Amino acid sequence: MIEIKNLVKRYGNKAAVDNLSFTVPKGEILGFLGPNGAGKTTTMNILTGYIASTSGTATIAGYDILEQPIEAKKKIGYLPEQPPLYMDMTVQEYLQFVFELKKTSGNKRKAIDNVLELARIGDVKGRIIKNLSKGYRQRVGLAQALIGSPEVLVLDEPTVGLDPKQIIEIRNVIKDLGKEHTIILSTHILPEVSAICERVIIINKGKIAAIDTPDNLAKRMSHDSRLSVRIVGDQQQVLQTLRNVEGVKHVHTDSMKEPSAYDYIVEAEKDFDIRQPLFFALAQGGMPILHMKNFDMSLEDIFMQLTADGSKALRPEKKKAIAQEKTELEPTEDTIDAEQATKNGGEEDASDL
Amino acid sequence: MLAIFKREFKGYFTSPIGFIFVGIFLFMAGLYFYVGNLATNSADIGSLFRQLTFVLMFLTPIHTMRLLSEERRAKLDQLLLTSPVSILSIVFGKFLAAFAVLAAAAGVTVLYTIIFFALGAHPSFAQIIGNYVGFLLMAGSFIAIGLFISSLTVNQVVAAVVSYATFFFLLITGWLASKTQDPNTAKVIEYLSPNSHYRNFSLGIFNVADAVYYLSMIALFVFLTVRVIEKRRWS
Repeated sequence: MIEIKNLVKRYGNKAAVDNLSFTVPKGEILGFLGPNGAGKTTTMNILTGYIASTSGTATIAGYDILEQPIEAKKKIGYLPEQPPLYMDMTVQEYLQFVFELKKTSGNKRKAIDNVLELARIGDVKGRIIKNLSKGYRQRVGLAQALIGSPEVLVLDEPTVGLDPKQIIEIRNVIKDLGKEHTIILSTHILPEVSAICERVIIINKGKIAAIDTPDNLAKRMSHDSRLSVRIVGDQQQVLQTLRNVEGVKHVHTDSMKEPSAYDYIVEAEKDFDIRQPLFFALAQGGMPILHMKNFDMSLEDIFMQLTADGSKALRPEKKKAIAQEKTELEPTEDTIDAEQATKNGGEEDASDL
Repeated sequence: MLAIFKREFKGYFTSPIGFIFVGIFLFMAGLYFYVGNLATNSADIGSLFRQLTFVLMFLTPIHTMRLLSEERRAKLDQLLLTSPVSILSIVFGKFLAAFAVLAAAAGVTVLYTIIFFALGAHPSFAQIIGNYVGFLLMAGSFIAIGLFISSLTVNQVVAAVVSYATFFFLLITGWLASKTQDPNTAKVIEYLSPNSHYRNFSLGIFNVADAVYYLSMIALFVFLTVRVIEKRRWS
């Protein structure tokens, strides 16, 4: 459905997109991952015909975006990073305008009602866009992209600015759309990709760093299991005990999170489940575990590994910032697991007493 | 193109700009009509329109400054340029919208000619039509220039100021021509002056060369605007 071949975009000497090639088959949801400035938005802008590439081709449903722009653009719905909204129009007027602009065929009212429902903005359709909150504006932007049910959807960070409940809603909408549409979406958030995408492209400095399914990617990256454990007790003593547990490869202190309790990062040998031995060893030494969770691979971790050539150790403060950002953005399944784990841990403690 | 025209036309009246433009234009037109015609018992519609071309020079920059600049600033061009419409139809749709607002304002002045007749004055039909056609052609060329300038910047104020400078220059081309010694150079400068081409229209004489001048100005600046947008996609 989408075919990108040797795409290059140069701004002066700097290549924003450097020889990118990939294809997206019909009906696939492809995640586009990368840090800021990696070339995600540039690629999307080229694909949708907003800017022209320096060299290389982008083909949508057999139409080259530069050679046959009108036909190609008819197949695309695009939600740019900043939703292109006329602030002085009402939602309904705006969608009517987009309907006409895109030369969509079919019943106008029906098409608009349909996207209003898909993006769940029926309740604000009479309001002037200027007065809407960021989350609603984002959804109006999405509705705009969906008008006319284009075969290809290009969504640039579609969940930015939404609250957690809306994020889950929009993800479900995208998932549903993925049954009939081909979708490319970019994001910073790894759980988002694992939640909806069938395939992931990680791009860095304009180049593809990896293409794979999210599962494979995570598997490939987390070749050793790491735990984050919060333990009460003297730091030296804890470190000593941890190092003596069988299967532990490496331990280091992360930071003090609660009075008299530190977080430790424990790295285990491959295929070793060290959680139980760890628990018993610490219990014996009278050092209670407050919580223990798998250190999940964030996009940034994977990224560091893919780009910085296997240097796994992240600086703790960066890690913290990332973890914080993640929990702020949304309660991921992982953190929910962790919360449960803590709860369970607490119960165990209680039964011990 | 129709969608863009409609949206742009409405846009003029959902923001104060359309009202300010039409309001000031009609106020000035009314003032000139009263002072120049009614109070002085003159049925010279030509002089009324000559004054209005000055008003046009001062108002068009306000009218055209946001046409393309504002859209680019708000990243709305992303919607337009990724839609299945050609750049020419985007630009021309906007041109037509701005032109339609101006034509609507000019249309109100038809009342004045009715007043002429009601008061027993009989200006010639050829002169009336000549003045309207000339005025609208001139307005079209000014809007095309303003549109082009607004495609060069994301800043409305910059667009307005540059448009003012350009129109001021066009305004003084007649004076420049009269001060030029070399007759050939003077002729060229004279030809570039929008006012010199208005003279015949104002008298009710329809000269094809004058119409061609205005129409080619419109075509040229619409074309240049398309090129500017096209070029930006490649850089």
